Amino acid sequence: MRIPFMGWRLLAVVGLAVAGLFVLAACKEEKAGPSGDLAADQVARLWLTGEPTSVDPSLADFDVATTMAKNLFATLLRFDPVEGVLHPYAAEEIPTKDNGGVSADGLTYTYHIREDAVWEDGEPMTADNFVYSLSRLLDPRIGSYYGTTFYNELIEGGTELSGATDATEAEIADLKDALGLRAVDARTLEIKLTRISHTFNLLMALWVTAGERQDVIEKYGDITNSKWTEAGNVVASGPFRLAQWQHGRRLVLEPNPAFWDEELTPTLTRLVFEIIEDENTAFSAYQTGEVDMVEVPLANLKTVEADPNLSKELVRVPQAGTFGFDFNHREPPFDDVNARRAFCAAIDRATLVDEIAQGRGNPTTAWYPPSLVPYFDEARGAELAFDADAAKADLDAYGKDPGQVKFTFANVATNPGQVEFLQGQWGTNLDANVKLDPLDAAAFQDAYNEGNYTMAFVGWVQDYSHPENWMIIWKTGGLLNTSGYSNPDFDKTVDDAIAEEDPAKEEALWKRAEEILVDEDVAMCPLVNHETVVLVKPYVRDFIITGVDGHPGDNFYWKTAVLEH
Amino acid sequence: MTGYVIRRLLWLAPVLFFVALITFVLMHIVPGGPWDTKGRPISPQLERQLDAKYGLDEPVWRQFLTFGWNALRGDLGISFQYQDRPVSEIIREGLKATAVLGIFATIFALVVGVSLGIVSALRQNSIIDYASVFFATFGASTPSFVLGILLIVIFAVQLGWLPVYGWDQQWWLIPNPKQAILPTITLGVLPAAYLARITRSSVLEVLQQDYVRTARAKGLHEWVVLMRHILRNALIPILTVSGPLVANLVTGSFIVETVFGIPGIGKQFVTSIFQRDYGMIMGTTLFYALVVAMANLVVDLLYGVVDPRIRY
Repeated sequence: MRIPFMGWRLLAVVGLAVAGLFVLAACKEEKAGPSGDLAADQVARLWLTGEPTSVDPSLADFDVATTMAKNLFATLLRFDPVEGVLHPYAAEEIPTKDNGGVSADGLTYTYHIREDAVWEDGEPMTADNFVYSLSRLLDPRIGSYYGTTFYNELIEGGTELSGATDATEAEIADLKDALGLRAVDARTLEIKLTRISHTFNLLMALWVTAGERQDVIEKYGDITNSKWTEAGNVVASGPFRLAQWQHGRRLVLEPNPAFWDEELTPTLTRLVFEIIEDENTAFSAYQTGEVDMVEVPLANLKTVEADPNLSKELVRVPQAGTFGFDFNHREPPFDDVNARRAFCAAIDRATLVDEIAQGRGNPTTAWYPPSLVPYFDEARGAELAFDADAAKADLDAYGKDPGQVKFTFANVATNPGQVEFLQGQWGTNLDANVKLDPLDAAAFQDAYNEGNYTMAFVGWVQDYSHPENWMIIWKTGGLLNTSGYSNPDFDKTVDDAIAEEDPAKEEALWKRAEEILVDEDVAMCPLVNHETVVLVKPYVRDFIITGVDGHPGDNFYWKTAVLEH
Repeated sequence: MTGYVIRRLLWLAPVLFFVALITFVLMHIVPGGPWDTKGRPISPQLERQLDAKYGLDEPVWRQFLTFGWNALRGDLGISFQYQDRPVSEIIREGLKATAVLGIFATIFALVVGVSLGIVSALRQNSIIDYASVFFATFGASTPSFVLGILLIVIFAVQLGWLPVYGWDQQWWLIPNPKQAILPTITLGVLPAAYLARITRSSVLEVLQQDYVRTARAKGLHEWVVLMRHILRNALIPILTVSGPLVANLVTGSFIVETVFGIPGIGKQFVTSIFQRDYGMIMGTTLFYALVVAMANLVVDLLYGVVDPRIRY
């Protein structure tokens, strides 16, 4: 699936996001809304890299799946795809302490649902829809990645429910009743948290929290059935409805006639997603005009940049993702910070990006991506920047011969080329002997999870734009931390930041956490902030490629319009 | 004959059992499991949930028995990767495109391959013979992803005659003919080349036989000699290779389906292995084994039709 994108992107595919906000220039120039120059036929044909694994919002955890879930189902809050700021969506307003939506102790959130919010079939959206979807999200029988990773510890009773893998149906029903979720009345939802969280409203803007209809889902079977997600069975609440899903071939979305949010109502009459797994085929289809948007295959990037016409249609979208490599802290040589710093400073990132990655991506020495304002600090990791002499000095400070070192990676996509470059850098700049250890993608992930490597590729793409999402994973025993990195000082700084009430102090703590992680401990070595490079036909306007809450190339289509062509 | 067919069908049971067993064992031995494809590590709690959901928390031998029991009742289980869609439904849907493409490619291969083979055998060492040998070598040595992309670049991008990709059923299972041309050729060239070579040597051999000379000596028309005496005797080796070939074609090709954006089962089979989608791997492998076994049975029965000396 997603086989086409593995590699740098392998570790990232899941919840990309970010801040790589981008709107086509055309949209900025044109102040007026859709005008007379729109084509009569408002159909956009977009490229999909593969069959969505599901359009079920509780289960969607891959880019193409989340794209569908977001356009079909309304959440209580949403991110503006252009500005990246939170907006109310199905909720009347964003709960804060000031408007009484958040209790004084910060543990209870109350959302009021818009009176005019309805489903595709005219049924009103109710608090029960959200109680149902959130309790389904935490249901152990569903096995939701997002539910069991980000929500279970936060929502009262969530840990107990999601841990109840051996429970009987009756026990699960009891655990669901015990959740901190309550429909106060038809349009008021109350959620109780286990701890103070500065990010809960961000989480409530992710697609996974979209309301769900119990009657619609359970009409086709139990809560895990997939039949309800087929075209014709789905009842939408977002800007679009699912008109057609021909598995493996295409999905067609059409505007939801009952949609209630004027601002988000699309001008498109049809949105056709063509599933083409081979990127070269997709590129050809773009050239012949069979699709209006395509990602540029790496091998074609230089050609496209040199082409007088195609280069004008080129759009670069930075991802809120950081990629680099990880060290095994449990054994020599990388149990020593000098060895880690030496291997990290020995890499010429500019050449890696320009020559090997064909100019796709941007070199970095920080863990936070540049979009993570105000936490991103350009000076972060200054000592990790490429400097062959400094690297050599660091290795001398280490004082021992590192011997032969193994580099483990998934043998897919562009990885082998990148790795050979790294191997060359270490050989040239450190006289180090690095052995390459290519593995099949799943086998690589297995080795990574087990901490079974000396050096290995690592990467993260954010789920929501907050340092919490970037740092919890590196705590001792954290999700991404399989390398044995453990610093009580770092763990405490992260915990303090999560609990800190004062915004200025909180900001300082998050910055301090990154300083420890990157500058002081060199827990891993950041190399590149990735970017997505796509071609978009000039007649497609306001095509927004963003992912404030989601993935690169994770799109919102309600603004898109097709110009006369 | 009926007895033979029944015996062969009974043999299917142990064959399928061992295919399932071997696949199951290999699948579990390979490093990396179905949850190693999320692109990130997952929490132990999520792992427990998923194991319980898909029955991986049971002892391995019991998982196998459960699969076997369900398969006997026609239930191939659910796909892990396409969250909870039934495997038999995915196979059924994918087969609509794959089987039709496979039949097209088979017809292409038989028509082109066998006629080229016959012509070049009858006109040995002529221009046609050399051209056919060249075609056979070219077809056998060009990987289908190269040929597929080459055809796309020439006929779709440059000339604009045909669409780049797609497979949309227009009438029942029959696709838009324009969409079918390039994938049919791409998929059919290799078997066509193979058949051309086999046919050529088989016909050449038969041509040396006494009964061909006798037939000609009797004054039979050359066409009758060809159809009744030469071709019929030359068919045996062609049939032998056709069985697996057809089975191979109708079960699909990962590369052709990926390159031409065809919603078939061939690419699902390969993808499911990368994705460690245990449900799909078992279901598709078992299905393939069944198709191959049936194709071989049909070939064996056809031997009897073609060659009266063969009796069951």
